[in-house]
Amino acid sequence: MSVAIGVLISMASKFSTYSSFADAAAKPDKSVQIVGQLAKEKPIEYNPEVDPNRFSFYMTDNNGDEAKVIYLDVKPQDFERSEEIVLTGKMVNDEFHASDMLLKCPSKYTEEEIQLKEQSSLGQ
Amino acid sequence: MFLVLSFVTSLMAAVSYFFSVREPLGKLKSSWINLGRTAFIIHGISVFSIIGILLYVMINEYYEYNYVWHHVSDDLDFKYIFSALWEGQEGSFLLWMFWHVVLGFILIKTAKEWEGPVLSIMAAVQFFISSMIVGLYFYMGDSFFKVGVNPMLLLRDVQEAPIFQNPDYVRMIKGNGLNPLLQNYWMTIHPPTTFLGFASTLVPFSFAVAGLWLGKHKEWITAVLPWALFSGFILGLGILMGGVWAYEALSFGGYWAWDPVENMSLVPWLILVGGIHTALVAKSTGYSIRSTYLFFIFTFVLILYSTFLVRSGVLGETSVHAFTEMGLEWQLVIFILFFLTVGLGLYFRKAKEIPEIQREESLYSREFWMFIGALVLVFSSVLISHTTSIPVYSKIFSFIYDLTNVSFLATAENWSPPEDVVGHHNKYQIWIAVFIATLSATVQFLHYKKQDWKGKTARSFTRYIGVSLIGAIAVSALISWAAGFNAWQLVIFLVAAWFTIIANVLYMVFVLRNNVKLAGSVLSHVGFGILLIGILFTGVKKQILSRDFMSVGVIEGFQEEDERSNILLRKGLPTRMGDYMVTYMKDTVDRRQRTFEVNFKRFDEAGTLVEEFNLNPNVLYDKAKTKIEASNPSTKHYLAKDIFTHVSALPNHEVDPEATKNAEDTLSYKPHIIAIGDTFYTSKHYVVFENFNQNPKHPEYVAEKEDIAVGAKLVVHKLDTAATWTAEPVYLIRGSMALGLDDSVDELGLKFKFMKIDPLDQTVTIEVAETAPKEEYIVLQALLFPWINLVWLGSLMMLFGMFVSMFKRLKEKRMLA
Repeated sequence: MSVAIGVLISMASKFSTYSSFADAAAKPDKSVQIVGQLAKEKPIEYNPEVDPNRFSFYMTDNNGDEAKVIYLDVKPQDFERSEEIVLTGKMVNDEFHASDMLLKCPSKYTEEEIQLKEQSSLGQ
Repeated sequence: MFLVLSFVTSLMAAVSYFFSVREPLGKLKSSWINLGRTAFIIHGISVFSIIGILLYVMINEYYEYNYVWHHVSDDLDFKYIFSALWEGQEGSFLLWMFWHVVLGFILIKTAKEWEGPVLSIMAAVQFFISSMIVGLYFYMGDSFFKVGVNPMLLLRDVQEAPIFQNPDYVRMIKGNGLNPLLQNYWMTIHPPTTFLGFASTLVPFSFAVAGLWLGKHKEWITAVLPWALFSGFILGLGILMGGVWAYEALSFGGYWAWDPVENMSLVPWLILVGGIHTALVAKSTGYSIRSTYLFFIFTFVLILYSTFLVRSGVLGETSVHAFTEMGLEWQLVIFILFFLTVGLGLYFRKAKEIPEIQREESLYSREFWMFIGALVLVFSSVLISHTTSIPVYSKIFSFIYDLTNVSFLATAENWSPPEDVVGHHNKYQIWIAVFIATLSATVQFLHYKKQDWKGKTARSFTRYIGVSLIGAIAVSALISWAAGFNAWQLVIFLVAAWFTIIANVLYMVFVLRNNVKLAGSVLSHVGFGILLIGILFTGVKKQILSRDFMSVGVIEGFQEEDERSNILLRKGLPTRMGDYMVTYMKDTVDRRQRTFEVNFKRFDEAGTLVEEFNLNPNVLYDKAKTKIEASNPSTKHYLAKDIFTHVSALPNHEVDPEATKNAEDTLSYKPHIIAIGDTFYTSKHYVVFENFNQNPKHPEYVAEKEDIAVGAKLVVHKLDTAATWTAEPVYLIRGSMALGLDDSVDELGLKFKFMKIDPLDQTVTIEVAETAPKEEYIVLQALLFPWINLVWLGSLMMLFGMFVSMFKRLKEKRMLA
């Protein structure tokens, strides 16, 4: 019983918090989570013929800092449409190496755009 | 109309049944009951009617309705119409209500003296859920607040767009359709099962409230047991189906990810299982009545909490399958608080009169250890829900911080779940599982109400437990050696799993003497043990076949090289993966689906082929065929392992055909006027015009009677090799119209247009364009899951055990009545 309570207290007393690129650069060995947005004007690179497990892009964190992100996996579908990105990883030489990435794409379920039927095709 | 009717009648039923409970036996009581019953039946019929009408407008594709426009499209297969029905919030609320009605009807028939209080609670719950879809607006001066969202709203009332000016707009719009990820038969069976599971937890809750209300603290236990077991079975099945779906049809690459939505349906199930155990104790000994009340009250309240988490949008960035916000948050919160207050309020008011045995449970008794087991399940649930609720805490405490500015809450806004969620949960739950497995082995051989540690029971306990433990250690040692487990944690986990399997089998054979009717608990506990072994193997021995050795070390600073789990397969080029030579053979396109054929070959040491099979993962394009919307895996099943593959990336020209098409439109074509046998050159090839073909075949050409169609047979030679390719563009005259159908050799990047035939000169005009050759490849992820079948087998046994026990308890209940 006391073990159980001990575990609970220790869990409750230490929450992880979302970090920032500045913070991650200050503690290069610590794995952190960062929330931010895709920097849309910067290059988004994925070339499977060179390396199928390397995807890179730039992200702006909630403090407004921008950093290059390298993710050792494929480029996720619908990446450009993501509104928010949550990264887990470390800062290595000014690049953020993400081991995990979560995308929030709100439009996936509610596409608020009324599509018109295509004009009937060929020859009419 | 039915929406309001269902809303009003649920309230009427709740109130009438409520008064029926307060009346003593007699005429007035039965007339209240009749009134309640009538109201509930009308409520049920209205719910069925709403679903019927909604289905009707969906099947007939009436896009003027917002819900239809959102979830249906012209090209949606009829078999997915039900999936589309419960894809949205409103539809899933209806599904939930539907099951409450069905269960309510069964209880009206069978509950006898419990009908009044039980149905009163159920109708009250229905009242709250109906309020979510009733869509009433209350105006207070200038402002208004809305109650619920009506599923029958018209599109033009929800959105503003110029198109609604057109009186004929309904004919011009097309539906959004069902998310392709959900176009899958699991979407047809998983939600109904899960919602029946959700709905079924209301019955034990209602019985608990009824027991407190009537003061029948012992009787309700007998009445609730079959329902609790049913609920455990069906809710568990719903969760399991979710896992199978995630594994089989989605490209999650696993069956359990500790996702908030998974967690919050597991937690009520754990509490429910705890409640089943304390109910058994209460029934046999009279201990644990209080905790049984609490267990069943919290099971339902946690279902409501999980509904809140999934539907309120609060999970935001932490979950992959949360609904979007609908503005129902406060309504959901009131829903939870109301039933939490009803349950706990009644419990504390009546707590004093609940019979309690003064003496402590003896350390040697079954009831003591079963209660401990139930507490461990609570502990497990608290840990899981705590971590899952961090986004909720963050919302609440950052709100408090805004009000009070207490400094220690300054970071609340940024509170995040643990970095490694899976590792975090596993770290705790593994030891809980070990503890539960040990208990479920030993407790079988303990007896209820046993006070001391003497005599025959103690001797047989020692004998059976001793044999089981030694057996478990021996088997586990052997397996650990064979599988190469060397971490002691893994070995202990394995021993615990085998311990419960062996002990329960012994119990079945020597104590129950193979009486199948009593075998429920044995089945469940053996199933649990098997599940644990399955979890261990799939978790620890999961193997990435598609590990990409080629590019390892390209990026400096990454330690986690094992993250590289995707490999590039060029068409026709065999690549080694684990024991297999894997080749991407070809792809076929059918409507929006592109299916890949991936060939696996295994050779023995002498180099002879021992095994060969094909897997067919596919991708689904969106309606406009411009984007890939879903990648569906393909899995080869063996008894002892699964090989799981899915296409994780494709060349750019296949991911974004639109961009490719735009690029093609700007190509420059060079004309060549040639006769049969002539040759012309491109930069790297020469092309020979071999002959005409009077019966040309072309993928875009469907022959009609009066057509004049001619193909030009072209043979392409590369300048530096002997290899040849063929192409056949077609020239078509239909009526007064003439058009050319193009052909291409993608591998070489050559495109041919058939422009003209000159009958006098016997020449044709062929135009040719050169692009960069298209590389044909797929990026594949291939995983090997050893013994995943044990996960399915164990879970099914565990749930089936509950099903068997349900019949045993039903029989008991009938005998008592």
